[in-house]
Amino acid sequence: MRVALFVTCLADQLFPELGLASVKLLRHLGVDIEFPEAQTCCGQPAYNAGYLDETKEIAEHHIGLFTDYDYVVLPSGSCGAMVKTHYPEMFRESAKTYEASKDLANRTYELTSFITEVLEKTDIGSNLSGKRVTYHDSCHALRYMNIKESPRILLKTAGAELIEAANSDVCCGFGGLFSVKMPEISAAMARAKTEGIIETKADILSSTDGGCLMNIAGSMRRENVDLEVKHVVELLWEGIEHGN
Amino acid sequence: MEISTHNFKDNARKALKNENLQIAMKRATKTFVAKREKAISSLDNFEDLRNYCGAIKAHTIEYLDHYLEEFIENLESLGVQVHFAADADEANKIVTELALEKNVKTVVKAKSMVTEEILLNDALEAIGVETLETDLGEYILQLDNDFPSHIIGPAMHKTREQVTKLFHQKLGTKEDASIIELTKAAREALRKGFLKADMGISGANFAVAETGSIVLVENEGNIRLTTSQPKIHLAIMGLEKIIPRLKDLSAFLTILPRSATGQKASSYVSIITGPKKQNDPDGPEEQHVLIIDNGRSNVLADPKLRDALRCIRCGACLNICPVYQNVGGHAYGWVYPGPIGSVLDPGLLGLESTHQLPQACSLCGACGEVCPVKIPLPELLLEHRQRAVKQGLSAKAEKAGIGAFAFMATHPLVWNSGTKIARLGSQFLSREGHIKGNYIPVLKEWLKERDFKTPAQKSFRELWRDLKDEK
Amino acid sequence: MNKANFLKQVRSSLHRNANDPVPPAPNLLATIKDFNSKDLIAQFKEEFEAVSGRFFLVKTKKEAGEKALEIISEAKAKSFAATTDKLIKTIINKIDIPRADKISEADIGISSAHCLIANTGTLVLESSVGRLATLLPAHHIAIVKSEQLLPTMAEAIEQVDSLPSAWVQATGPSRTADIELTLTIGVHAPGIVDVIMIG
Repeated sequence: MRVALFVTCLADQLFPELGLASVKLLRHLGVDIEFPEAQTCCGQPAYNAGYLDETKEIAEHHIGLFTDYDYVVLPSGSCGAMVKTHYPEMFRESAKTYEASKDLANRTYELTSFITEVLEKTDIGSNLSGKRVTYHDSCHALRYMNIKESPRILLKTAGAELIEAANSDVCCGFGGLFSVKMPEISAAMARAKTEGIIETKADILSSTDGGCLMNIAGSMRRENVDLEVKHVVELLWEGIEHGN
Repeated sequence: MEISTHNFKDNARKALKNENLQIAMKRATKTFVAKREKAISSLDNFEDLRNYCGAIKAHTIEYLDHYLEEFIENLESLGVQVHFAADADEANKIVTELALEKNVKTVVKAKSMVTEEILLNDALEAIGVETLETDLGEYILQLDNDFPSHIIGPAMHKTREQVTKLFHQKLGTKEDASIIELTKAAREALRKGFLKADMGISGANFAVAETGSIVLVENEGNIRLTTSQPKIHLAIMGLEKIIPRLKDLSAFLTILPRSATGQKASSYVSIITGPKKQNDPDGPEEQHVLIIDNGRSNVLADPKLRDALRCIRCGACLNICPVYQNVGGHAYGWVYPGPIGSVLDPGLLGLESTHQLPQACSLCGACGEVCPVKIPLPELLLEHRQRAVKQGLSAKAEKAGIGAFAFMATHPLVWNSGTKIARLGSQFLSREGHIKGNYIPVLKEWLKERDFKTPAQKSFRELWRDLKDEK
Repeated sequence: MNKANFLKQVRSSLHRNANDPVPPAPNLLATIKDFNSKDLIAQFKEEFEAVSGRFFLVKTKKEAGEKALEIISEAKAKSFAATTDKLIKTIINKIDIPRADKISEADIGISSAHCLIANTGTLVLESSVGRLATLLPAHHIAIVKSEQLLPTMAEAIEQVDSLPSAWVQATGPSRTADIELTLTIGVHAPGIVDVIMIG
């Protein structure tokens, strides 16, 4: 099977180590991952800001890049939700693009779900014993892609101690452009999130979404809260590379 | 209350700095969310109920003319006098004329959001009618010349200390009065009002077409008193409050208290069908119902937005919204705050003066999950954003920025070079691995209250060149 | 605005004409049941006490009368008010404190109920027997029969023949949490509610 990596614009530009971990983790699991280099962004920032025409241009570009692959895997719930839920919605009026978008939606998987649902693995040879982790459910991963169990199963099977925050499913305040359009509210939400995280007394905060983690980590650092923040894919890969 | 929907951003900033408000909001919303969670989890068919209630409301709205007509016919056959108002001015004119005609000196009022919408109290006071709010939360606000910040708990933004001080000033209670003592003082003050009032004004939680009934839900008993003691009962309702049949009530009355306050049942549900019957020992001799449009028919005419008229005013979307939790209701600048306010206000007031409201949202989707009548709130918030763009209400810089972004995203070579320049440029702003840039547009907004990690020198796609040959 | 124009505005918003057809309203596929137990008395007692009501189960009308007198004496009530419910007529005749001239001055209000809803601990009070006696006094005593119990609101509404001018579902004493979400029992309507059930 041919599997493409959709690395996401944020990871590509701001946290490439996530892209590296994604590639290495998938290769470790026997997936010959490919990277179509013409990829840029799924268009979510434009979509959430209400710019439908611009979003459609970006979406059409994106859809065209992945036609040859059996699966498209990405380390993000929010970009995944964009492709799986919003792409088909956007193109409901244009029959041909609608078909293409539905087809891509069916082949697109957030990375931890790809591992548990397509590769059907929960033990990936990662050792995270001794790690006390609290997991943040990104809004789009949780509510639009139903991702709740797959990252938790992988972390638990790797031996991590998973401690749930009381507000694990409350928005962190990122919301893409919301974070810079209403920054005071966004930061207040991040601080409320941090309170819940600190209460768990965990050492590591993890999630499927780099945008969320960037927001919470940025707030924590400003408030002098010292807690490790790591994307679940990077954390799992760390448990493979250094854990055994 | 002056409308300040156009000032949401400033309002929100002030709210975030208001310590008393922050304390009150965190406590209140946390409590409401937990209570609702518990009450909903004790049902084994919540999703079925939501589907049913949503379907009933959607159906009623779709055929609202038919059900309104049925409702009015039944009201008239009960001897109820029915009035119609296109807008707030007309509504207030009808009420004040009625008050003058009937020589009304004192009015007792139940909590009603639609009466806040039309500023009824001001109109009555202008003709010298004493108007007493009888819901404790509204009474507190009336004493303080303040306005509601939440649909269910209107004085949610006030701390206990603030209320104690207020009652000491206005009612002469002790400086350290307990909440029980404060409640007792309110009961005594309002009891006098109930007994002398000439007219009781209520809203309507539901209006049953099949029977011509007005349904009112409460915990304090003030609504029972308002609708039973005075000679005249006037119910004021928006045209969207109709439900088709009496039997539909059991579904709505199961889902409403649980969503609103986490109760299995509110203390009192009054199903009022006409004025007192001839042999009734007591009850109002006259009943009037005033049905108000005030912009609702515009929302009705909008096939996408019309779903917002399903709202049964439970407040669940407010309580779960992390933006509302942090800024409170006043920031939204009008009667309806939170997600439902951000969806409805543009429909009732126009997008031009309200377009900041749909932006006050991270699109987390929590509101859509809790709405007992399945209003697609997140979709409607996004719809308003799309309309704002189409109507040219977005900032020019933003439009240009998105345009540039779209161009880059559809031209990979430009994307590569453009982002590379930005990343290299950011290295100059880097201090201890984080960016300092309080003058750079967009970035400076982020940096107000958070740090931003300096982007890596090489992007993933540059690193891929080395990676791709390794296997 | 008059009725015709108001309805016209609504129709035009919906692009409908007068007398356009209307499909039937949706019906709930599953029944709405919530903790429907077979022992309605036990369920009523549990729910009613959970909302701070006081529940007394007696075997006969005579015992009900005695219980009522006991409660009235304990409460040190000076006067009472009553609805015109048939069930309480003979009981009222035995009360040794005077009937208040004005209901608003009575310490205790006595009534029966139209029916009872078990799954929420609710009394259904209707206006043909009088509204104010169960509303103005601070203490309400309701004397009812267990045969009046129905499982849920759905059944209560189902057996309605023609609605009174006020049909009130009363669940426990009045309450508020408007001051900093602190629950206070007893606001404008009764703060103490006793149910004496003959069953």
